[in-house]
Amino acid sequence: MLFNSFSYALFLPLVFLLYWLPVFKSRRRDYQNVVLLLSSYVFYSAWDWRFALLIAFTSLSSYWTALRIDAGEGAASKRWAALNIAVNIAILAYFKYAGFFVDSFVALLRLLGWNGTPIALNIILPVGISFYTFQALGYTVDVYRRRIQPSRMALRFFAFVSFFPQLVAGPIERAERLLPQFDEKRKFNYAQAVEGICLILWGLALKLLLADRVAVYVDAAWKGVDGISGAPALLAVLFFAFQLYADFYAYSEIARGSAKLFGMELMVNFRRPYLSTSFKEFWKRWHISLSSWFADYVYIPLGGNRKGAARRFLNVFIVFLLSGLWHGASWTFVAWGFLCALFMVALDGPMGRIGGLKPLKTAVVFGLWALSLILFRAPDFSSAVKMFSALGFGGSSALTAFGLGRSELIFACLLIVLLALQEVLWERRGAQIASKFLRLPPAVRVLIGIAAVLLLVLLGHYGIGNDSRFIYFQF
Amino acid sequence: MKKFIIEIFAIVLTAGALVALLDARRVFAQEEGNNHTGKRWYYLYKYGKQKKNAIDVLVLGNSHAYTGLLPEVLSEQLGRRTFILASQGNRITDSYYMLEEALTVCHPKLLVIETYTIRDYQQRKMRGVDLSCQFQSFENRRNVWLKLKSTPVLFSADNAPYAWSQTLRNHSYLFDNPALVAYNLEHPGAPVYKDTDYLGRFVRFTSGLEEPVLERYRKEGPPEDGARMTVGADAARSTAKILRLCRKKGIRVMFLTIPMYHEHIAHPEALHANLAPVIGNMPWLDLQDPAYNGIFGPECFENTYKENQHQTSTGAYKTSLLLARFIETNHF
Repeated sequence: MLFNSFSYALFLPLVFLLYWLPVFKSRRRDYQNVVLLLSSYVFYSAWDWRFALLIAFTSLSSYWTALRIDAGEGAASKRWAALNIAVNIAILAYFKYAGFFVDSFVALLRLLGWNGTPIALNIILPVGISFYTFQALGYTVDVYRRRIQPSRMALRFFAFVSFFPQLVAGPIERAERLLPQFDEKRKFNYAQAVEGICLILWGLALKLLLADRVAVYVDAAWKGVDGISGAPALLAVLFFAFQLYADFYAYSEIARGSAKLFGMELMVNFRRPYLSTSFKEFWKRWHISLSSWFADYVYIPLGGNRKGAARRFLNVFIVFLLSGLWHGASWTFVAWGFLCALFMVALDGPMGRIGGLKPLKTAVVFGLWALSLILFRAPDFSSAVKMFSALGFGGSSALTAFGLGRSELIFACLLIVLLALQEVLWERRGAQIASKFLRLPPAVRVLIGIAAVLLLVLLGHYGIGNDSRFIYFQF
Repeated sequence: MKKFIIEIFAIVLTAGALVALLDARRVFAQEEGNNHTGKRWYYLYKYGKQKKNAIDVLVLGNSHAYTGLLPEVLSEQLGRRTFILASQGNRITDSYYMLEEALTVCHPKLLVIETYTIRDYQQRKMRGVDLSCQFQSFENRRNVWLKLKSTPVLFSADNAPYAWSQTLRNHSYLFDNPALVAYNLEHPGAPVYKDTDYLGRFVRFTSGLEEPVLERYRKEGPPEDGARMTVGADAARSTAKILRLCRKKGIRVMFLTIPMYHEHIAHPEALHANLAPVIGNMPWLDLQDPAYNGIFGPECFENTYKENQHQTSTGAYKTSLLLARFIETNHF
């Protein structure tokens, strides 16, 4: 069930109404958690009911071992933590990386002269497995570090792991932040709900107007990577940078908006990353929940920047290589992670020493990021090399040969300009604009809402046969 | 809470009403020049208004039915009005709902079901061209209540809004075909049909099979295999529903298999065997039977090696005569 599907448009209001039904007043909190838990499993089962069994197992193993960790002392506690981490990583490794490991191993054997036929692994990748596994792992580590108390209420913990707004593509929430919200009795908050609707509409606008529209061009360009050259290739690379941002940002905003409708708060996952003036800043603004997860659970335990420059560089590379692998079971993602680490290690220092020139630094960071995404998008290294070597400025007459007509191409570019302006404006006055909007008379807000819905209906890129999945679902 | 729900309702209802208005004015309607399905419903309702028993024989099917039969010839041979109620790419599940709606305006004595609609498909999981055909058929039906009733059976929750709204389905015309949107704005409302009489015929093919295609048959063999043309659960269920409905309404039913060229389809006996359990002991004129090969020569078929081969007007004429004779000897 996609956030941008009609079934979600039916599902969300239905769950909302059930959730806020004025029943079970004495056991309100449990009732609300039951509604969230059941609806989350229904939501997840819409892909494949077997996935629900997997998430139930992950929840159960994390819930149970956390209690053992808490009850144990020293080595016993450590053993339980290690066991749970191993179980979670094993599940992830099997479902997401088994094929990759086997393929890589076979490729290595072939290099050594082996000519046999490997066994074909037909493992279905459960949607969002990387997200909820990381969330469960974070919980286990936090309990082990005594940063949080383990949850003793199975219902609340299961609802926390499977909470449908953020289940399949994050934000990867910390137990410390989200779990206590399941312990509280939630009361309907009008301002929070209005904010939730605004975030959902904003997310849909990013997805339907921009991400899915430029996706047509990007997909066509990569399909024809053998013949593409010049400006069309450059535009495909730039478009993909905006597609990825708009797509994932959209998901995160719809997730946050949906959560707000249930009186829950999820963390902000994107903070205008394309305005960053350094790579370090970029990673503090892009996919914040994952970046901070890696910082807290990998980078800092490895020593962070406390053990000298050489060790810091090594830690950065380890984190980014893992982050690349987290994104996809492919060497192109590993190479992409390596490139991101390289940019951070090699360029942030020199760029930081140059004062001013903010727009130029922003352009450099964005440009290099967009180029690095060639590895992110490429199905293999040879396609990536072809796209790199095709970049140029000529051949603009072929721009309309990649799925979007002239008017739609101009419209997409206009949307990107508007998004950029909005980001700059929001960076400066975001909070003011949001509070002004919330203070508008309800009738005006309703009119704006109607206009927004009509805009999406008429100008959105959606329809039968469109691939409207969110990119990060595959991770 | 109440205030919030009222605001959301106001947004959803107003936006929905505006979309419905665009639909009613057919702003995003597709090219209507060739919409023979709409034309069929228009004339069926027109005949129904004239006289409840204005139609004696009703044929249900898809493009095979409207290209493979000449209702004028049938009407003349039988001395009874024959009407083809078919839509491109129709499946028997959709045919059931078409029949249900047709029976609100007419009461035929005989129903002929063309068997090409009885296939292995999953109605709610249709995609691509099949789904587009389903939309086209659905859109042209007129009885809102029956359309509502059939929606959950015909479409998944994600496809249902597209089935109901041209605006949702064709809004991309704003970029792809603005001239059509402009034309639709200037010409609002339903299309006007000027024929005095129309019985659902739509013969598209006049020339028969030519040498290059015949050569492919010789070299590559048949593109279709009767053994692979199986009948799925959805089709079997819908066929049974049609038979029950007709029994209840006192309408006699027969099945008709309009043939493809005999070298076009391998193992016609397997196709017959696949259909037999669904058809049971109902009367069935299977013109794909090799016994008819001598009647349907290359001149009777669309010049194509594609899987889906239709008949030419010559083929349709022969099929109509054979059907008329079959009806006369078995039914009336």
